[in-house]
Order: sequence, then structure tokens, then C-alpha cells
Amino acid sequence: MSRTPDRRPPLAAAGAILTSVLLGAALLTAPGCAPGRSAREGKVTVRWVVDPNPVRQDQIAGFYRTHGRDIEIILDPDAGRQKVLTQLAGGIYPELFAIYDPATVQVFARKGVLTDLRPMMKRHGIRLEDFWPQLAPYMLYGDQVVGLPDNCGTYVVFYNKRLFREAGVPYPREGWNWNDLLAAARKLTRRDERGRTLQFGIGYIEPWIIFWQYGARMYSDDGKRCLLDSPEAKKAAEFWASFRLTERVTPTPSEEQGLAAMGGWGGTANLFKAEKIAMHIVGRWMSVEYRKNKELEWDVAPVPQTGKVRATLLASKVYAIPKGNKNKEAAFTFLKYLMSKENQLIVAATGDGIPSIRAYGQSREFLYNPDYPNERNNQVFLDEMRWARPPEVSPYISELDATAIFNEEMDLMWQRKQSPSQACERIARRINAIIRRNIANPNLLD
Amino acid sequence: MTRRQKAESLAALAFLAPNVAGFLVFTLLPVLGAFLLAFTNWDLFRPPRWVGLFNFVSLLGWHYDEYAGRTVMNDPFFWKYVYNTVFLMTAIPVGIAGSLICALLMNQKLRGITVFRTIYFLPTVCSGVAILILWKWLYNNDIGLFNTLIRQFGDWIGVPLQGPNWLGSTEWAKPSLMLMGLWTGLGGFNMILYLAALQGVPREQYEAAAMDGASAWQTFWAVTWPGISPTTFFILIMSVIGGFQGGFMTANVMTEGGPAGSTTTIEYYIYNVAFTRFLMGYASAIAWVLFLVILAITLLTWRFGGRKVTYV
Repeated sequence: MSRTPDRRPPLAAAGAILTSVLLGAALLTAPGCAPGRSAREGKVTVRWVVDPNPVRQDQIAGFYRTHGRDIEIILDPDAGRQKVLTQLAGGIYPELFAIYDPATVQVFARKGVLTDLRPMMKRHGIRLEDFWPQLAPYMLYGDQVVGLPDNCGTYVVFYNKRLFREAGVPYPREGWNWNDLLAAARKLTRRDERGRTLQFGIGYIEPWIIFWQYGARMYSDDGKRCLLDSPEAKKAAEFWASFRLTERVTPTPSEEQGLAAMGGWGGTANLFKAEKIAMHIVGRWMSVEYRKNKELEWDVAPVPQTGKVRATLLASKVYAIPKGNKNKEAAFTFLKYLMSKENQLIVAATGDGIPSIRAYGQSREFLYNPDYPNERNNQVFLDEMRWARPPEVSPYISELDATAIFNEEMDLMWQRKQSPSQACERIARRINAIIRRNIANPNLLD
Repeated sequence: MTRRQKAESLAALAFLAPNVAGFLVFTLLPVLGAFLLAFTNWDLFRPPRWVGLFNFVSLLGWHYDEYAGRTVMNDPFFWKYVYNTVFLMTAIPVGIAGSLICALLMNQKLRGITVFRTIYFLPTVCSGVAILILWKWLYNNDIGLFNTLIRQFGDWIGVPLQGPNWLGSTEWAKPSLMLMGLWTGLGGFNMILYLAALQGVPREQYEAAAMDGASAWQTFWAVTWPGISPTTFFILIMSVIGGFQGGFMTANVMTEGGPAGSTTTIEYYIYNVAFTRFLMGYASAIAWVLFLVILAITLLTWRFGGRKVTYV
């Protein structure tokens, strides 16, 4: 009996040591500590970090069809900037990753993590001149080519033909203006006896389409001044805000949440798909989603005009190869495929935007797909390309700071605590203060 | 030291080893690393460059803006988010009082009291994100439960009523988060701590108070309150520390820091600066300033609050 207590501590110590060893082993063999590369013999792996659009599987299948399976493509379906930067910082380099806006391209390029693609482009015969020239801010950093897009999209008006017919509103046509759109949106907005909206005329409109059309700009040409305090910007803001504040033909975020399930492509797309809004200004990639609802009878029209400046928004995504990547050639082989006719026609056929190479964008396959005989107006996307612009960027302010200020002031405007003109003035004042500070102290830039 | 004592010490050290190793590797080293980083401009990609006090001056300093014609803070966002954080912390005394009331209720000798204790403790064991999403729907301006009830009440009394835009207005967003925090916190660990403290107050003191003819309020004020004062002091200190370090999850899940930045706290700001903008040096400087603020306030609380504590 007396020996038992003496034995316990060594046993306990052994248990504790074992626990420590197991814990240590568990830590060392955790996924984050294990080698990050797929090491399947005889195969090079290309990890493709991009959005989870179902079209990606068609694109991968197309690659295997044309190039065999020597290079294995692994889809990593989350291309958030935060995730990609963390991976790059941790030395776990994806072979190819998507970047969705010019500001982020600039951030990555400034940090020196993107491969200059010019030598490989030259070797493989990919010419910059073949792309839509409007895409340059997405692709270039100084004189370097840091990313190549396989698709892009001009913002046009998607409209629900059935809702238009039921409301007795004529379909939009070339040459219509914003007053026509507003009049249509009013007729297409339905409310119950309590004043609650059952159906909205139009979803959230990207402000820049209206701002540019009023002759306003976010930044001066050299990026050293925010110009949102201009009379044109204030006038544009008044009109843009009126859709929600006075006309109430566009839902607030909380109304969006209340009317349709969230997730997927977001509130406005879900509402359009659920036929709760009659118009949605967005790019062609949304066709992928809208085609899923067979009952949805939709068509596209050009964005309305003010009669001053013709403009619409141009969105794209480019694929970049990180500098630290060991499989650059394999990554570029896949990237080259994404620029090839095979993939560009997949983009055209699946509705995932406009092919980034002009020749394929203007092809017969893009203009008419017999699988979707109702989509006869694809020329609209191309016509809008003539005056489409990417989002404006200043090299002197973090896009996140600028966006935070813009959203903060617009939030106050949506709450009617300040007028749209006041919001514009305050945004310009605050952004300009930061630009001046950053010019004095470049260390504070991203 | 006898052989047995040595063996016991060895066992104790072995048991402590994983935790100490974890503390060293995952807490102390990163904290020291962050201190050094606060004096650099590291962005994770380029090698860190020593910038001295630049990050601290950028955070806490001010400059004269010739264009604006006035002195402005170098980082106006930071001060706004400090205000938000402190505003949200004003709910701490209400939360502590609520937990105490809950604990007093749960300390009754009632049939099935364990069931009630479990029910009150449930929000603490539920998934935080699930609770936040639930509350986001409750607060929805158009179809949320609260505004629906307000509208129905309005119908009932014949006056059209519309509830506030809970999470969508700058006036209501912070109070809404505070209200939600109270709901989740009332029956949480603070209540459990108070419950344990209440059960630790000596019975003799209650008997003496009863013999002296003390009323319920007098008994609470003269016996219970001093008896549980060490627990109150502990909860206060931990709540203040937690308050300064809080707000990330609610901002991330419910409000994205809005509207108009009104629910962005220092913690959420640090996260954004570090993991969205990758200004690790600057984020480390904010974290260290936050640490010093917490340390100073904790010491002040200790210095002045500690006097009121009665150790039975």
C-alpha cells in the first residue's frame, strides 16, 4: 500500500510527457506544417486560385482536352485578396491566381510579388495588342505586364421582359436616357397597402456609371486630387441617390436582405433571379447565374445616357503568376490556354463575360449561341465596350482607405444625415487630406 | 528534496510543459515580435525596414494641414474607432449588474433551478457566429422580429409605428450591439462566477444580519455585496480588458464595421490594417498602444477599485 503513491508521479510524468510528445507531433504533422505541394509523380501541379464559378470546370476540362493531363490543374475556389496575400507571405505560392480590380493589381505589383509576363508572352507569341485596350489598367504596372485576363464585362441593363410586359412598359431600346429608365423603374415598382415594396424597378446601380456620364471623375489624371467635390459630381450624386432616397425604386441593403435569400452572387442578383427587381445593371458574367432560372425571361439593353458623356463600367479579372512560384512554365502553359481560342470560346459560350481577346469577342460564337436562342442581343456588350472604363485608381491612397471613406459618407447620406452634395464634398476633403499626407509620407501607403 | 518530492516536481513540470511551450511559442514570442515590428514598415513581402517611432507618430500624432487650414490627426480613423470601442464598453456596468441579478435569481433554492441555470448559460455554449446571424435577422429593418412586433403593436393601438433601423443607422447600431451583448453575456461566465461567489459568502453573516433585523436590501448591501466584491473586481477588470479587445466578430459578421464606421472597434481596425492592408508594422504599433492603454486602465482600476474590495 505504501508504495503506490510513490509510483504515481512517474506514471503521471510519463503520461504528461506522452501528452507533450503527442501534442508536438500533432502540431508538426498538421496540414499547415506538411509539404504544401501535391507530389504526384510525373505530374506538375498548377493550383489555380479563382472564384468558384461552375464555368471553371469546363475550362479545366478544355485544358485537359487540348493539352493532355501532364499538368494537373487544382481549382482553389477562393481568390480573396487577404487569402492570396497570406499564402504568398507564407511562401505557399499558387501557380496562378485571379485579381479582380486595378487597385489590387497595383497593391500586389507595388509589393513586388508579381512576375513580369513580357518575356514569356514574347516566347509564346501572346501579343498585348490583341486584348481590348481598355483592359490596360488591369494588366499593366508601369511598363510591365503583370496579369492577363481571359474575360471582361461591360455593364449593361439586364431586364425582366415578363415584368415589363405586365406593367405595360416598353422594352428599353438604344438611345434611351436616364429619365426613361427612371420612369420605367417607377412603373415597375409595386408596393402593398402599407407602403412596403413587393417589387423594385431596379437594383443597386454602380455610382461610377452615372458619375462619369455627368462628366465627373474620382481622381485627377495624376491621381493627386480627388475631384468628387466638383459640381458635376454633386449633380450626379443627387441623381444617383434619388433612386433610393426619393424615388424608392432601388432597395436598401436591408430590403434586399428581406426580399430574397442572400449568398451566391449577392442581394441584387438574387432579387433579379427571384423576379423581385425588374432591372439590374451588371456585366455579362451574370448570364451564367440567370440561365439557371429557366422561367426567367430576360434580355439586355445598353445603359441609358445623359447625353453628355457616354460611359459605362468595365470589369475584368486578370491572372497573375507569383514571383516565388517554382512552376512558372507550367503556370504559363495554362495561362496561355486561357488566352487560346478553345478557352475564349468557352467564355463566350458559357456566358462568363466577353472574351478578353478582341477577335474572339467579335466572333460569331459570342454573338449567337444556339443553346440559348433568346440571347440575341449580345452585340450590346460589345457596343458598350467603346466607352467602357475600369474603376479609377490613385497611386497616392490605399483603395481600402478611399473605399472606407466613400462608404462612411454614403452611409450617412443613405440615413439622410447629409445631402449627396455634402457627402461628395466630405469624401473629397477627407480623401485629399490622406493623399496629401501620403505624398508627404509614402511609408503609409499599402 | 526527497525522491518523492522530486518525482512530483518532475510530474508537475511535465504537465506544465505543453502549456508553457504553447505560451512561449504562440504568445510570448509573437508579442515580442510585434513589439519589434512596431518600429518597422514590414508588409510581409519586402524585408522589414527600421522606421523608429514613425508608426507611433503616424498613429497618435497630428499635423497642420495647410490646405484645410487647421491641425488634423495623422490617423483620423484610429480616434473614431477608439470612441466606438469606449462607447460600446459603457454597457459593461449594466452587464455586470445583469449578471449579478441573474446569479441572485439562480441562487434560489427552487425546484428545477438547474434547468434554469442551463437555459441562461445556453447562449455561452452556442456558436457565436450563429447567434450573430440570428440577431442580424432579428434586427432587420423590414422583416426583423423586433420591427414586426413594433408594427403590430402600432396596429393594435391604432397608430402607425415603425421601429428603428437597428443596424443600419449610426444612432442605433452601437446600442443594438450593446443590447445583443447583454443578452449573450447575462447568463454567461460572469453569472457562473457570481453564483460561486454567492455560495461562498459565510452563512453566519446572513444569520447575524437576520438576528439584527436587517431588511433584504440591508443584508444585500452589508453582507452579500462586500462578500462578493473580489468577484466583482475580477469581473470588472476582465470585462474592461475584454471590452478594449472586443468587437471583431460582431463587426465581421453583422455590420462590416458600419454604418459609416460606427461599429468599427480598435480590434477590427487592427485586423483590417494587418490582414487586409498588410501594414504589419503599423498594426503592431496600434496593438501595442492598445496594450498600454489596457495596462494603464487596469492599473488605475486596481489602484482605486481595489480599495473597495473586502476579502472575507
